[in-house]
Amino acid sequence: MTSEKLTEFVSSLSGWASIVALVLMGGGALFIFVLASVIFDELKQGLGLRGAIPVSHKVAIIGLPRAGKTTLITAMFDLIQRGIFSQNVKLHGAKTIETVNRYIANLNSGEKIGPTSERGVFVFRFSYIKRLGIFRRAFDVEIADFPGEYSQQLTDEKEEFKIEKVAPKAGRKRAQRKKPSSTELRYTLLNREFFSWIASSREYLFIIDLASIYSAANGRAAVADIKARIRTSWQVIEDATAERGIGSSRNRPVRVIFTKVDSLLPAYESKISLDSLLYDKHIDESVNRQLASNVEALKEEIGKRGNANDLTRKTILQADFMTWATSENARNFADLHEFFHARVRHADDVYVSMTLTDEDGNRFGVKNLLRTILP
Amino acid sequence: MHPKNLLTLHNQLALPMIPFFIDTLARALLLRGQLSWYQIPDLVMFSVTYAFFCLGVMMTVNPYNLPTDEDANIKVELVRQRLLAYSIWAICLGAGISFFRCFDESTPNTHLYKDNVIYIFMLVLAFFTYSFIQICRTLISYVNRV
Repeated sequence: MTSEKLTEFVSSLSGWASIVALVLMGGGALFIFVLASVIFDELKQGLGLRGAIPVSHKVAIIGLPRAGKTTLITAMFDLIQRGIFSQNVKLHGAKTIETVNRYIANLNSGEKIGPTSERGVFVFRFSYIKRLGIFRRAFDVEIADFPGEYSQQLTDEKEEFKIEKVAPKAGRKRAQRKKPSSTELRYTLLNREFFSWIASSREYLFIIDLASIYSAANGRAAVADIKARIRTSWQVIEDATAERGIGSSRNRPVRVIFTKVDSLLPAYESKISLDSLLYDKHIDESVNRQLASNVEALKEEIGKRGNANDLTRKTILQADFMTWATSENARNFADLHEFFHARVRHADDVYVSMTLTDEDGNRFGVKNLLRTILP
Repeated sequence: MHPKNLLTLHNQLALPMIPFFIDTLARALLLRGQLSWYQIPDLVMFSVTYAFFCLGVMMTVNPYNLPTDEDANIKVELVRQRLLAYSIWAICLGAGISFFRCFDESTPNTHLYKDNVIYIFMLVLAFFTYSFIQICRTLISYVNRV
């Protein structure tokens, strides 16, 4: 009967009016169904019914070797496990559980967490449920721990590597792929599993090691180099996302993480600005010999702290120190900040330290970082 | 637009839906006044093209080979199966509608299709919106693990 009435109504309209009426009715019905589907989906998730699939959220961590990527992941899992961020967290897989707990034990006991080797690449997984009033949503988070060398390959500005087939030698059945040398890497990474993972990530963390920058013999070159590497990395990711991805790279948040902030404490205590560490070549030793020798000693001290193995929490954060460090450091990375703000909707700078503690007694910046990177 | 952007995944996924839109537009413009409202969008064509869309999304959800726990790809497999299920449901829906129309055409006096077409439209719309919302809100986050 309803069909007849509808047919009569549509027939009573003339020409284009009938098409417009059909489109409007169809749109209205579609809207109602979309609304009903969203409510049903939320209820299904909220009631925790079987068959509800969690949303996948991948976090890519990119940084130079020994910048502190594995340590940062470990510190994040230390908080995640303790339910600091969410009470409904579950680690997945025996290997993830074992590795996370081993690393946390190392971190808290002051033992070294060694650099990740190529064979040590591992994807840590956990899931949690986020509650919004009566609604709740499950997320499956994956954080990959890659060796720094892989991240460096992303940004090596060398000639494009082309896959070449080496002619089979006598006695060999198949042609072999020529092994890429370290100077021939750039776009090959687009085909590598690691790059593919990075290109399809939903969140990007670029790690900058403050200790290595401010202890470098040529600090200005170190700052310029890391900024160039990060810019190149992001542009390669943008390019790859445009080529293959769903959604724009503009909607993927980027966090620039400054690690090892604690290593700058000696500079703060001796009231020497970070600029002096970068521009030490311009200090006229004949005029200010004392400052020049202080800067050299400071760099050595910063370097030592940056390479320290014992990362147990011991120093209480000094609020003035953080204000000083962020304002001094922000000046040197202002252009990188502008670069990301022009390209992505959400870009932040986060400062973390493994030895400084925040007001809650947690490692400084890690809780804040978790809050920003998890959906 | 840069040619590279035209080949993005979402454009490729939308390709299977093009025949349905062309068919509907052609019916609306060329056969205007000769067809009843329910004959303009061909639900069988829609169901089949939507099934191909679901299959297209399924093909882009791939397990990755990075070292991790053995059960890491279970969810990926679950997503692929869910998409395959949507695709099969869409095909079944199309086949059902086709069969219903055949039955109606073999017994024209009953007006079976004409009298019940609104419910068929509702069913197709309900299935499409629910599965599409699922794909957009959750399943799409597993896409592009190439």
